[in-house]
Amino acid sequence: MTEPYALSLSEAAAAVANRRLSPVELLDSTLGHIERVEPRVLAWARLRPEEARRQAERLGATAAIGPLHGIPVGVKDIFYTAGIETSCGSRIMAGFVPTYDATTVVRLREAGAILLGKTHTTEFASFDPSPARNPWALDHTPGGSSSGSAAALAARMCHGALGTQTSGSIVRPAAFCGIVGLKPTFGRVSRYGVHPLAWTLDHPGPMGRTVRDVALLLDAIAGADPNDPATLSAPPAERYVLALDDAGAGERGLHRLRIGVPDRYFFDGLDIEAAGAYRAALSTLGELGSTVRDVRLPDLFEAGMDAHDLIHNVEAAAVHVDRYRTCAADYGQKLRAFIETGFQVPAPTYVRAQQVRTKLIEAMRELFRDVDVLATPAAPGPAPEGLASTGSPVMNRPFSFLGFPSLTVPCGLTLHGLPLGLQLAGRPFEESTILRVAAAYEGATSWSEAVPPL
Amino acid sequence: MERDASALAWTRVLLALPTETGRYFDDEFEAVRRRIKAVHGAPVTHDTEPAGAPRLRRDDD
Repeated sequence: MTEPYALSLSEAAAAVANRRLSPVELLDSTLGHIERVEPRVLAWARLRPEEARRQAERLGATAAIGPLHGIPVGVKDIFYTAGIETSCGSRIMAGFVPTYDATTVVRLREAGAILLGKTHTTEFASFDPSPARNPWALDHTPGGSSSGSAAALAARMCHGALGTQTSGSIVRPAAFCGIVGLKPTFGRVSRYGVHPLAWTLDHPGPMGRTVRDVALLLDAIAGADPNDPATLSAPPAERYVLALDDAGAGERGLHRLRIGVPDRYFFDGLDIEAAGAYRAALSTLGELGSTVRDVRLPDLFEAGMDAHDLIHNVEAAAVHVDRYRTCAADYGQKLRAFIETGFQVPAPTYVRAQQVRTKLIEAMRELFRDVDVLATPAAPGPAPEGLASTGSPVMNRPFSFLGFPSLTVPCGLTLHGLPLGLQLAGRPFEESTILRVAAAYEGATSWSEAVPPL
Repeated sequence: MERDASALAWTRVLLALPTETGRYFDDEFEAVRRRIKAVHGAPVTHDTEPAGAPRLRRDDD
């Protein structure tokens, strides 16, 4: 019999709902596994086993309060958690205890989830790495900035997690760790109570072991929040799990779905094994009934990536300017350089960069008239060796800049046993489309079932 | 291109930043210079509204 800690979120939620498994049994199994593997993986900034156990006991004594009833989750340590230290991977924030929960944390709790602890992040979700390691190869980065969330999920130390993405911080670590990570459309999930890195680029989102797990988490956290204006102009959230369960979805496969393959950018410096896995994934998508066709990215695409980096630069400098006056020496070298260069970007350049963004969004909307989904590699290769860098976000940055939804689903293992990811991106607020494609791909392959050799 | 010391000093004074601000990170400044050039070279017309404009709604929505 599968140990409870090894169940996917969906399997565990079903077992708890059917009373085949109690929240306490699930938690104890998970905590026992954490004890065995965490000393090597270092995914957690802080764990709260006693509080989690009390919550599991309470939930075990009540009827199901939501679809995540009794499910242990991890939350990246830039999400505010009432009464729980939130240090953002920074010595500057050490000891900071928020008085309120981020909206996403409130919603996870309301759905019945148990907050097992806070997962490691790079410093303020930027560049200077956290202690977390990649469960597939401990001397390789797990990626960043949602390093601990990805590592904890891959190592089976929690059943779901929250991350954030400003450039590539959900999709890249998820790909490096062989799990599923979804960056929602900007405005789909509230940013309230998440320490900002760059306000107009920050996207909170769900991470899980399977596509269905991620859909369940997105169901719980998506929707309007009066505290985040970006969510108020968004259309109502869908029921993402229902979209996967849509009667006949399995039989129809991906018929009539058009999948675009970009003509450039995503293949610069692409690792040979990642390229092979990507081509194989496209073949599988074709076999599932979709039409795979080449598309030409807009001429403005590359300038858009420069605009992204400048906006990121300037907004990060604005976030940190007050602290920087007194605590400059307490910042890591990479973030320090980022903040200092951000101070020197002229204001007209920032506005121009936001205009380039408008233009590229228009052009990409046009491109998405011809296709329903774009498929690209999720990273230039597998997780790089070493822990000093978290790898490159170039594959994911376009969709953070555009605000369009994107996700990664495992699509292979290298000869050295490192995971590779397939990135799927869709039209604004069409998360259900990319989830459906990812679920069909996942069902046709077995990459999501691979377990790290811990 | 050399960084302009007077421009750095201007920002430092206006924002009351530490005195060493802007003295290091030559490689990063060079990357930013390249990006600024690229962005200003992109074709953008005057009627292009910058992304990030207000998202307004009626209070009773």
